[in-house]
Amino acid sequence: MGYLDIDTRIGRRLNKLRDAARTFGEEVVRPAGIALDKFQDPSDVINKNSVLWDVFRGYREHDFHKLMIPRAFGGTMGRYPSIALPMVNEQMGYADGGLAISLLVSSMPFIFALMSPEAKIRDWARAYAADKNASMIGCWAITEPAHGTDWILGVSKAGGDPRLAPSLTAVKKGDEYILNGWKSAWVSNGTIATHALLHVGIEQSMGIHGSGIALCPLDLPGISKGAPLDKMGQRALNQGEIIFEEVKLNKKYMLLNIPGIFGANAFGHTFLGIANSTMGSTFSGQAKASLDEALKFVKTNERDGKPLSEQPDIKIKMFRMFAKVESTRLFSLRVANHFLSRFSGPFMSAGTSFRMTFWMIGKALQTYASLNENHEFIRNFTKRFTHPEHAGELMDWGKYGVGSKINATETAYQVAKEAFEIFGEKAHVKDYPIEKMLRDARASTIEDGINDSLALASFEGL
Amino acid sequence: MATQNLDIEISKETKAMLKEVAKFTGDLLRVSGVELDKVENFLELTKEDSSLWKVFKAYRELDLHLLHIPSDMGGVDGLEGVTPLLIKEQMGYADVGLAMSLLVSDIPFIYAAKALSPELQKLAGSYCEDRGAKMIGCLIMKDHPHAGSPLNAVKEKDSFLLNGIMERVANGNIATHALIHNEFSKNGEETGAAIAVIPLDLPGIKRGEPLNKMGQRSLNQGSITFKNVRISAAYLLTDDRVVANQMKKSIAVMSVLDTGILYSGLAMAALDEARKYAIDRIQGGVPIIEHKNIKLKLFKLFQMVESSRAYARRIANYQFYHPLPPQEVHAAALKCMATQTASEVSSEVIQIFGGNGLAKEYPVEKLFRDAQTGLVENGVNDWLAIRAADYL
Repeated sequence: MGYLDIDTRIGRRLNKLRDAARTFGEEVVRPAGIALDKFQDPSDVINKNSVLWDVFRGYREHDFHKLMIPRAFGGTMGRYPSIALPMVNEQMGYADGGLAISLLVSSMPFIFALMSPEAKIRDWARAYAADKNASMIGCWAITEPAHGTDWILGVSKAGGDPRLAPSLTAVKKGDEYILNGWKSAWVSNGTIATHALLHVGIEQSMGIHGSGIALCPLDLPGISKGAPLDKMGQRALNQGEIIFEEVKLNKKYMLLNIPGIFGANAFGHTFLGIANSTMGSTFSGQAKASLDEALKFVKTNERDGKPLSEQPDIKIKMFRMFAKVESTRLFSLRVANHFLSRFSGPFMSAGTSFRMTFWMIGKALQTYASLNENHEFIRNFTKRFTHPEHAGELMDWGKYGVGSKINATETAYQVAKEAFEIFGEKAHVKDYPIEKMLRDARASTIEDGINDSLALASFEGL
Repeated sequence: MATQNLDIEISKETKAMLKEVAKFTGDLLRVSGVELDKVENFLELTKEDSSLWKVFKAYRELDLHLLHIPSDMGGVDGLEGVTPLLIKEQMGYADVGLAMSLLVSDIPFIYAAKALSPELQKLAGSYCEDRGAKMIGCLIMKDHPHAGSPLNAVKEKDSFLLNGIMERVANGNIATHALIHNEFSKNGEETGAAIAVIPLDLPGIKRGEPLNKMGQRSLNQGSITFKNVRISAAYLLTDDRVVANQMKKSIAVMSVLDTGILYSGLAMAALDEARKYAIDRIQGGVPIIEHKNIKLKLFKLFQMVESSRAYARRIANYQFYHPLPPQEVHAAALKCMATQTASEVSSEVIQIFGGNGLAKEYPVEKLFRDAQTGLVENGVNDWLAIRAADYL
């Protein structure tokens, strides 16, 4: 079926990239997702011989993981128009929603490493870009068993309530932070990750607003992993607890060690927004996949002796699904494209490179308390990042990213459900592809933030 | 809790019966449903000491298989209209898969009890006595929701010959007997119809692979193939075309109606889980039931569940006292409404549970998987609706 590229700036190079992603998705990711979904024991998904590693290595072979790493570190950021990353995400989501998230989340600690004042830690990004073997896997370790939605509320005023203080605490002792507590079984890639973008409680009286962010290697003594989560959908996406017992983390790994920065401000909102925008493009892809399965089905199956595709109620249903999928998909692409296209240069109000952009954000995270920082440039940037009244356009990033996530995941579920009913008596049988898509879509409205919770927290950006 | 039965005038006898049944559904049925959901292969599902057989035996010990068979045939009499409904709703509340398996099993024998043939009457009597659950029934009917492609029937002198394959039969792999409705045709025109109740060990009958399903995994489903299977007159319930088609409709409508009742029960179960969780789970510093958006959600779900249950009561009660004609329109409307309710309620409940809702250690993801199947079994909703619209 033909899908119109409404944004006509997709040239030959971008088309080639998209085709490469689509083919990789079709030949490797989709069958792997189906196979991994079938394992009863989630440990089998991640064992040494699992096809999961073929997926990771294939993704790295295609250099897709380099799209968010600056060229100065061996990445390809800026080589393609900014729409390249969401386009690849969409193809991965089309293939398998769970695996798409696993691949995407893996990059997070290494991208944030670029913000570190320590050159050796910034070099994680270089090592990651070169890591074709998929020995380096990242995760975003934020939620805890007692604090799920609470972290989302962290970007709103409600997040300052001390009752929301993180369970995982980091207590400064000389040159180290002592970490105690654990991250929830919902952490994507938790069990397989080698590195974590880790959120920790520093000043508990400030609730989530008192949290900091660490770049944490997961081979430190005292760190252990729980059993992988056994769940209804996105079973190919490994999720699992990470436990910290008296872990000594050198202060150089603390990216954000000043309480009060992660909160109801541009930093909190853009962080949430950008993360959610990737969900937006990924699950638009999944929604499209369910639609395409339904289209194939109605052309080859009958009702009362006539093809389903000739039944008027089916035609109307399917056309509406198409309208929903396309409006969601194009909204998500535009939102993600907007963020990424403005990530250097305009964002910085100066002609900066991507490498500089990351460095500047890191500086802002480190110098908040000392607004008597010498460079006016840095001072102004820090103000924009951390004081909502100066943030301007940055506050938009939160609401658009979150908006695209809510839209895409709810569409993915609705389209999967409609497709499920179209498959009729065959729908719930595991020989047909739609029941898995329904289960996978169901998970998406909760992961990365329960949709209503996201809406609640993002309202302040309206 | 508000979802008390608003059912008025339940007799003491019924109340006592329901208390016994509640022990069965609240405990064995629910726990077995959860256990069997996790079983990967069919052989394990049906091995001798499987919970499946414990459930069937307990159901038979409680005489629940006798509810629709008259006492002179070995069944029970003097029930109130509301009794079978309340029992079925409780069964659906516990586990729809097992509930369906148990109810479908009864149907061939309920109809055998209506037969004039002494062999079939004897069969019905044996079933009433069968507390060891050695006899299990299934349905093979054209246009019956469980059926896939119809069987080909050819009349011979004192029997007829069956050929063909029936897909996705409930209890298909475990059944010992089947109720079959088939049509005879000449040049594409229907010339006759018949209903028979047959043992499934006749020569020429083969079972297919059991289905691997998303939900309702405790309900076995599998195909049954017929190759030149001879059905003799002794097994015939009727070969009067009008009676056969009339009876087929009654059976189909009963099955559709029961589905509506079971899923009303499921929806209620999902809502109860959500309310329990919302009282315990603390987020934003308070139990989540104190957040207004959760209150709104829970209340909307309550509205939907109670509407479904109310409609189930009205139709089941009416049909009990006025079995003919079968209320196709209302049964279809209830089924569509109840399954849609179960689907939406179970989905919203997962949302209320958040990340925990997706985890297999919490009960609600199973309720979701079981619920979605309801949209497409025993008649895909839209298809049922389009057909029933002819009778509005």
